[in-house]
Amino acid sequence: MLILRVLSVQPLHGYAIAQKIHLLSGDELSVEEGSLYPALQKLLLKGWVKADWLVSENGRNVREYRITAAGKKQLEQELSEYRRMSKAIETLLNNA
Amino acid sequence: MGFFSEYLRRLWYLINRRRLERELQREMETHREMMGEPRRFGNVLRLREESRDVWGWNRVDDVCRDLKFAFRSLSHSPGFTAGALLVLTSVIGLNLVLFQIYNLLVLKPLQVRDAQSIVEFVRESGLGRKAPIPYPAAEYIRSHNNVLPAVLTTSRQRYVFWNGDFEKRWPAQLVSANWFEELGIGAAAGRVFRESVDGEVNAAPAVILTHYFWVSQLNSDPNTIGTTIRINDRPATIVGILPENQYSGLEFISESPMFLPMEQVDYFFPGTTLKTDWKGYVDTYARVKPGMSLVAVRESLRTVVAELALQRPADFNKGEWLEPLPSSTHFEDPDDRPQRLFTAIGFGFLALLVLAVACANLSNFILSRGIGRLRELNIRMALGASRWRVMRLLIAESVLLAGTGAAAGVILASVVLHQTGPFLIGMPFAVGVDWRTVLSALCIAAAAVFAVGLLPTWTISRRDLGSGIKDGGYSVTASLTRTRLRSILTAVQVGGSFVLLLLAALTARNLYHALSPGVDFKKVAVLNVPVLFDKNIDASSYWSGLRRSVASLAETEDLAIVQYAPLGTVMTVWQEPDAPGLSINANKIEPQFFDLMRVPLITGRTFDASDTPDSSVILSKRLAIAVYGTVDVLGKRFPRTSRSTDNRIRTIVGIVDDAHSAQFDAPNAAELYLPMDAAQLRRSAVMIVRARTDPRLLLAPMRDASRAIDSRLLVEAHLMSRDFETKLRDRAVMSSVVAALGSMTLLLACIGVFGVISYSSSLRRKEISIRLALGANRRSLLVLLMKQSLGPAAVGGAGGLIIGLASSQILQSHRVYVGSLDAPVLISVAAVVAITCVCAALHPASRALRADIAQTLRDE
Repeated sequence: MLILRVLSVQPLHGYAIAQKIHLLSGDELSVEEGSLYPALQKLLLKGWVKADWLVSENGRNVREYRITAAGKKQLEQELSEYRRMSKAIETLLNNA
Repeated sequence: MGFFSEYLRRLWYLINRRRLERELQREMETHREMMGEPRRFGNVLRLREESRDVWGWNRVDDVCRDLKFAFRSLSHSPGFTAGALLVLTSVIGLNLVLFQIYNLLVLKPLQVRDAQSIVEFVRESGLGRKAPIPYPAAEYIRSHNNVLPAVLTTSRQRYVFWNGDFEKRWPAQLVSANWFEELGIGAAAGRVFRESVDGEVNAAPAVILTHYFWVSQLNSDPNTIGTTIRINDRPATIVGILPENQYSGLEFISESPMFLPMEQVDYFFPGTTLKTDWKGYVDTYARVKPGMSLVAVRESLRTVVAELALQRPADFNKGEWLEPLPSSTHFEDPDDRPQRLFTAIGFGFLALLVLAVACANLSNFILSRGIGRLRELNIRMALGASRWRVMRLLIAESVLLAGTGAAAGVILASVVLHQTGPFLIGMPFAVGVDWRTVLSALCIAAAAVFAVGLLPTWTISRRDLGSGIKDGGYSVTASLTRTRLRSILTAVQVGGSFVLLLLAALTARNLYHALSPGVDFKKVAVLNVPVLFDKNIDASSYWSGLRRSVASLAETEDLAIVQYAPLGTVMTVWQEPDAPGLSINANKIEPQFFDLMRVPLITGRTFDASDTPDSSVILSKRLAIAVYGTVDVLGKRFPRTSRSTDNRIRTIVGIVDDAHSAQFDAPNAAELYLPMDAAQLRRSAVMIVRARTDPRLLLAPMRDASRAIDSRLLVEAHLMSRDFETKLRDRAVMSSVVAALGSMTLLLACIGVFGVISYSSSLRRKEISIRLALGANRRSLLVLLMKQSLGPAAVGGAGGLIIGLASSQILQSHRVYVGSLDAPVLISVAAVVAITCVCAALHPASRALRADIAQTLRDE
């Protein structure tokens, strides 16, 4: 969900995705960055993202991932599911 | 849709796999280079592996690797591999052959147009007897009904002389001219019979050949169509050749290499009474109106049969009706279903028994191999292999063995069926690769994999392999040698062999009985007059002239004219309600028949001039005892309580010994004799002649004598011993197949017992040596070792005995021709199995005890 959310703003390469998640989470989500790749492969398999090789601003060959229509739909589903769950937990915690 | 496109992406990944993996590697490297602290990236190799896992092809890689490893491992034990493959190929092939035959004859739908609307009719009298329909009745039904758009008739097993060769007769099938067109069977070359052309009595004589006959007898001559050949010495034109492997399910299951139009039967078989005989019969099929149920058809035809009963009261009873048998059950009579089902289950049981014994044997060997490789497996686990990984290695070997065995089994089955097809259905079997065949091959192979591979692997992997490395696998090995699975496998092998050997012994004894029939046929020659009398030939003067000529031959000792020659292929079979389960072979004979065939007269007299076929009868001892319980029945009426098959009541004038000359190895066959009469002489008869020295000297003079009286009659002379050999051949084949299966399984069981004892003794060498060093008695140790495998073998033998006893009882009650089980057969089979098992166990056990104690202890 996090990767899809980050890619929904703009297409990014692997390192940039990791940096963005790191930055936006305020250093809270600090996991080994390589674990991003099996997750990206899964998104590719599901058809939720597409990848193309291009040259980055600093002249490196990078693979840029772009969210697809199916990916956007999936993101919406996951977000609404997450919000529903989060709301339910919050209600439970407040009323317990 | 999403699921489908996901699989397309997986496939795309597989195709571009190498490139994509290179790209992923490059991508990860770039990522690491961009990071200030590359260590936080994680283990690149592991992450690449996890990324590959997402696409799901790693499992395929693993399987390929496992199979490659299994192939290498098996190629290091060529003896074991070859033996295992041989056993698997044979048993899978055997199972497939049986399945294919069953599939063709029972499961496969009829290969004809609109098969659901085809039915076969039989006459049902309401007395529990079914009878076929005479040709004139079939013709009457054809023209007097409004529910059957087409009526088809056929007469099978007619024998003809082909193209001037009077040494051999070929079977031919007579079919109504609408047969092929109505069934939707076309010709590969030429044409099939057409009702408008060949349905006329005066139509140009035509014949259609099977493809196999055309290839095997006419060397695939391209100019065959239109050729004029001679059938029964009468010209006929070959108008068509049927397609290769044409088998609709309606052709006769025998060699039927040619088809003749039923309408022209008088031309090919001059003098035949088929078309006018209300006592004869043809097989009658019909196409019913679309949408009509079988019950509606039966009820609609009741009036037609009632009309027949009014017109022919002697041939049709009032309450009779025509019973339609549907094609969906291959026209099976519901009364015969239990018998057929039983036969199918019986053969299936035998085939599965062989499979079970073979699998048990292989399983035992794989278990032994697994035990022998415990140290290797322990090391693999110590190096980090999971239990599942170790199991997979062992299973891969079994899969490879079973897969190769199944493939080779299919090839073997195809070859066997192709070779035996001409004997079974008159052409090579077309092994249809339909879903049933594939499924059965897969099921057999899967069963083999399960039994051969999974069971022993599971048994081995259940043990604590990890701890095995501490003592070199000794404790695990010792516990495995005494595993329950091994005992069960040994018991299955011995039990299976016991059953098969018992059945083999019974069929062999049956064969022995068959070798000594109740008639003395060795010096007897037979003169067949298969082509019947033309209206211009007087039958009685022909036979009396022939009798005079043959009797005057110096070589002739005695002769008789009979309806059927003993040991011949055809005989009328009666069923009497007084003797249920007994098949009675009825034959019309002349009085001197019993003397000629050396059949002793037990009581009463043979026929004389005062006897007629409607008044007198002579019974065989078996029949008299079955009906009356005694042979003292002279002057009594036969049948005792009901009417006979032909609606007559006769007086018993004599009882003769059992000749078992028609179904000579059937335990449930009996004979009934009627006096020969002039009507039978006109219809068909056979002359049998006893020679003084050599019956071969009679053959040519008999043929010449017949030609001298009337050269138009085509006769065929042969030795009665030839008929005997022909009859015996089928039984001998059956006996030898069962005996071969029994011996094969016993051999497998012996190898199994031998292997178990020798392997367990080699594993327990250390223990044996210590026991011996401590002063143990060699004999008690020998008993200890042998008990380990002879115990399960004894249990298996006992189980085999019970199953064998039950099977032989069931077989006998279902009239399958196996001899009755008695003490000598049982004791001899038990002795063979016991002695073989003891010998197989004794040799390796005593060898283990003879080993040098000091040397063994030093080695261990």
